[in-house]
Amino acid sequence: MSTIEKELHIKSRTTGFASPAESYVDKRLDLNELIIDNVHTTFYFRYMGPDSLGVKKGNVLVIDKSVDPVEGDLVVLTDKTCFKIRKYEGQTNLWGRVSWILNKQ
Amino acid sequence: MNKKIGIVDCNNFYVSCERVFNPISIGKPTVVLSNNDGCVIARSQEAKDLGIKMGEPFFQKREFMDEHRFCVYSSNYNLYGDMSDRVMTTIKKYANEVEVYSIDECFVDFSNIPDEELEDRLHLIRNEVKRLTGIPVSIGVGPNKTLAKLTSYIAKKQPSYDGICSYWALPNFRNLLYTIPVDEVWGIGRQWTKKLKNIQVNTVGQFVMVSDLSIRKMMNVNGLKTKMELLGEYCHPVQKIPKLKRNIASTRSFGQDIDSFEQIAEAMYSYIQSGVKKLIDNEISPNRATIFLCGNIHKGEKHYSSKQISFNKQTRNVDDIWSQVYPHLLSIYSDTKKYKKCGIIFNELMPESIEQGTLFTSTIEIVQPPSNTEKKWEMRQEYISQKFTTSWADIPSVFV
Repeated sequence: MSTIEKELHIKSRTTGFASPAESYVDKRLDLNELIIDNVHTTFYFRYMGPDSLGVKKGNVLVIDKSVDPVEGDLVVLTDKTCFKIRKYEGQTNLWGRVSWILNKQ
Repeated sequence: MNKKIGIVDCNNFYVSCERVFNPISIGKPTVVLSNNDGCVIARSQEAKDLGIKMGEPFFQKREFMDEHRFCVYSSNYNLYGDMSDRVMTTIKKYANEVEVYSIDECFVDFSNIPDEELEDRLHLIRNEVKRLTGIPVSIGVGPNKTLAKLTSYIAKKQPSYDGICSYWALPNFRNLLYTIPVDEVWGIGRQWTKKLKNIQVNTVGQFVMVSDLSIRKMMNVNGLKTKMELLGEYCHPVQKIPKLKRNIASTRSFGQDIDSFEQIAEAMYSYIQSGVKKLIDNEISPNRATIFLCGNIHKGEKHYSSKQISFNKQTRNVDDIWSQVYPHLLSIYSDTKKYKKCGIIFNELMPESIEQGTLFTSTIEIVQPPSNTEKKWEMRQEYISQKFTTSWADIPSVFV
């Protein structure tokens, strides 16, 4: 429900007492807002190697291609036939910088 | 003020999309095939250099491609559509007036950018699209759309071309026109090319010498506009807001020839579903539709039957539409024929309808959607890559 819909929903109740929450209607937290800065430059990968560099097998990596990495950042590189994670050391075969590692407990 | 119109064109777009997610194809001859893996619709430079032509039937080249270790992909429109959207959004960040012309091209009006800043802006766009999406683009600029397109055609033939070119920097443009076949001009299609050939007009140079009157008679006012633009005038504005669509088609060839009505009904139902999705995306709904069924023309089966349907009210509801399509589909189907293709074309499209009253709308008999059988009609897509950006199950894998 959008904020407006929620507002309408609350205000349209015609009987009973006004909701005490009426003036506190807020948008529920949305994880997208936290994780995605630029929707058009964000891509997802799934890490399938053995646990390494703080990443576990099955983790989803969020990559924002609009952010340039600095030395030591976790990055995805293209390596001839596949993708690999590495610490960034100025490699030229950079695919993108990892901005989030999503780990399901 | 002088107009500066650009055409931004993704290089070998479908191949480039595959290469972003399939690094194995980088540097190797690569092609993308049409629906049902019929023919080549995109080629990497390596594939072009090996003589693969646009539109060439795949089965004729299969052995050759095996021999030369080609990377071959079925078309993956989920991926290309998403990448196209990312590219266009990036371009719009650096230019105000953008007209998305096709999945891999857009026109941009750069007229408000001072001449001395234009080249930097073009490089910025090209570099940013590559950095943010991984897709390489070329940009041609000229005084109008037609010349922007032609400039980029000319530039692509030159080995020194680095992806940015300007009409104003081309030496001897008028002489060059005599070396360019007339059908390379934007807007001059097969029909007009044939007519022009009949009067010995084969090159662009010859075309601009034809009198306005003859062009108007032989072609139409658009033909004349094309000539005027080739001579440097400005006729076709960059249209930021796309024109309202006149019809929406959802059709496709089957993976094999089909004779069972159940299979055809199921295919039609799924095309209605994807057609309705397009209607919703465009915020329009139809009053009428045309359905058709046809045979495999490649096998000389020219039978074609179609039917116009007027809906009882403007609708975008799949089951409403299906219920009204079904009896007509049944009526044009013949159990003695085999079919290769069917489809539905929605027309009389209106902006989202205001809920109509039911006073004059006739009631319809509800028809159940077809149940799932073995999907013989589904497309052949032997070499399809994953939906890397539109399905969680398909996101690319990364290793250490």
